[in-house]
Amino acid sequence: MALALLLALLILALVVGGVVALAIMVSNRPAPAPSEAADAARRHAIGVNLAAWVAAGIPAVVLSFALLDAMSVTYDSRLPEQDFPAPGPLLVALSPAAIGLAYLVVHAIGERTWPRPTGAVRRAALVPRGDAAPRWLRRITWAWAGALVATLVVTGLTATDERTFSRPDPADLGDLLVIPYAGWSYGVPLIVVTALLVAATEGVLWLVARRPAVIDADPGYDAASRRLSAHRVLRGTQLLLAGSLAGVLVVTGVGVAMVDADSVGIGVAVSLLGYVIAAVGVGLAIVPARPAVPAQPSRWLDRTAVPVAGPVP
Amino acid sequence: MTPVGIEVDLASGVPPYEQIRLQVLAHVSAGRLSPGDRLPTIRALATDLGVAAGTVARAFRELEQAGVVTTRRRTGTVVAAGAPTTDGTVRRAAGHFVATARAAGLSDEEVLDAVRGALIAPR
Repeated sequence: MALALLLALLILALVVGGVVALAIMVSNRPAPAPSEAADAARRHAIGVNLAAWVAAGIPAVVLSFALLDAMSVTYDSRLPEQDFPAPGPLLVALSPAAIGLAYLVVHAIGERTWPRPTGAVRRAALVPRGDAAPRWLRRITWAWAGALVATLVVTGLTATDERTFSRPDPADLGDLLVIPYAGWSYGVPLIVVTALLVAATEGVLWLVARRPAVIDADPGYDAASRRLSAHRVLRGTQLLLAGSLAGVLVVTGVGVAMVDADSVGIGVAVSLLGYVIAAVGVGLAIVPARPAVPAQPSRWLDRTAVPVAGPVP
Repeated sequence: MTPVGIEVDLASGVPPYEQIRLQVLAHVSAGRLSPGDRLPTIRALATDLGVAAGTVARAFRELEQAGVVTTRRRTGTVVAAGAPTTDGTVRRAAGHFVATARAAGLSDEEVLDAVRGALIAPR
């Protein structure tokens, strides 16, 4: 059981590393820059995206070592029974929280420091701001969060105690098969962290929608730039939520399959579902947004703006 | 469709709020902004222009007092139903005049000077 948990965590760590590498490659892809302000905005966005992945990677690496350390044990052949110890609830909850919040805080700082209008002449479009976030990706992020909370509630209700799941050992009457399980001591902090991550994501999306516009380019460029930023924010968050959900499902499924002979099929199905969700999460994180960015400068405001002059007498 | 835009020159002698007010009024008068069209929020427009929110708020307040725009709780600031618009014939004539003046190489200020000259001419 503990070996399966360890393998699941290692797979997730490898997946996160692969996603970071791909994100860096995708972010470095050259894109047309329709104006000086747009070029500055594009450079800023790329820097923020890279910094966010690096910031998320630091706690990911540190916490991976901490998790491995918490699960390591020195075997003593003279002792009759030894189990792999499970990582503490706080450490489990801290992992997605630290990684996700580091990622989102960098994005939030990036939005707050977005290039401001400069020069004596300022331009703006007289159209209300719309919601920039890709609706489908936002729904998926919320769906991962909802499924994670629902799973944790179910495991919390079905756990034997705060942290384990046990069944009588059919081979030895009176003995119990006990496995680590996402009971309330794991579930409550993870639910809190999930709510925190979703709220932080919505907060960053709010900042994306309200940052200064890139106004000396085609208006489509500004909309595409916002959509790209929102896509990047949601891409990282959904990966984290999908990874957390996958981890809980894999651990739960493997544990149930090992401890309850009547539920092997259910356990395997739950574990497979976890791996499928992890794969979908990784796939969505890898697929880059491809907004239609105009290749040529546009002097759209020159035709529509009213001359800056005093009132006609 | 090309969005309607405004331009504020911070180095101009005309205060920024007045420039905003005049340009919104001009867009409504020219029919580029129709009754019911939503305007950006005060904060969003101020952010895009890099000016204080109070500057945009003052322009919107004066436009509201003039009956050009109205502020609703749910939809924000929209062009008012009774906003003054220029007659279609005059609008087309103005467009033709501006096109002719620009084709002749006149600057915006020179175009306005020509209009001022025509306005002060004896009837």
